[in-house]
Amino acid sequence: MASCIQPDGKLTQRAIEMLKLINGKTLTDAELASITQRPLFQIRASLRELESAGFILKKDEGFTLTEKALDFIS
Amino acid sequence: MEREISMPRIGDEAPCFEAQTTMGNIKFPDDFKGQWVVFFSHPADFTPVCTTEFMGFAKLNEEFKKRNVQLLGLSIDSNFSHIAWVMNIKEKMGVDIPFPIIADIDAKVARLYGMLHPGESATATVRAVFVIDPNGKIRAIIYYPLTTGRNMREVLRLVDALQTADKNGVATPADWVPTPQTWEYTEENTKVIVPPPTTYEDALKRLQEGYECRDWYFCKKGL
Repeated sequence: MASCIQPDGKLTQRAIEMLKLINGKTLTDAELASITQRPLFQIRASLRELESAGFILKKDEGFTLTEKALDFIS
Repeated sequence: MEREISMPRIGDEAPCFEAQTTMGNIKFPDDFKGQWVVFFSHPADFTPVCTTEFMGFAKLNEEFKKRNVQLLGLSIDSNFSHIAWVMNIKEKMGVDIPFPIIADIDAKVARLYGMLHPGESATATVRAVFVIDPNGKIRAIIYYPLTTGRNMREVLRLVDALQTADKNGVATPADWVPTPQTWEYTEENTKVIVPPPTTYEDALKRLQEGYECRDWYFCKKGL
């Protein structure tokens, strides 16, 4: 069961919220865990899925949105 | 030819795996890097001793979190079974299970970690505990048989001892505790579990048999 991408390819509400949090910033996994109050392992799993789907990019220790994500949330 | 049984040992790197849990898919140990993990198996969902253990771990979850420890459960059950069980624990016992449980229906992870002990049970995992440090190294292992519930405070004490040893370059003696403890043993701790019924007919009768029951599979009595 995917936590970010649904079987039909659509993003889950949790994934959309995460993209909105990252929008305009570079956030680390630990920072996202702290902001969302979710366990670190769950954040890392979500980030892995979003990165693999091309919505975020790893930059140094943090994550930023890709053009695809910016188009999606605009 | 007998299947080779994998038995990780203290000091080994924690074996890698990917799995489905009640809180989403995980990649282990990558997703837990930088945290301590108490990775434990239980024999089966909807069994009374396991239910008491899960409530015990849930009760101490905040203490584990303060120590940068993530709890992680496992049994050879499906994710739907795990979800139904944690929903049942919430509904019948009023306890929320705040940590993920791995659905290891094909026993792949259980075999990888040596959690299946054929002399005890061929199909259910024993009560194993692996304490894994932030670098993914196994630092301690405990095994308990199916009949005997673990002491969650001892698991917490073990984490305290390992962290204290790492931080201060010391070793801890027998019965060491970080601060004086008042162990909360009550009359409730003296009660024992009545083995759960194994037929539908017996399950229907169980609640009328005079035991202290929270549900058909979870009944206690004094000795």
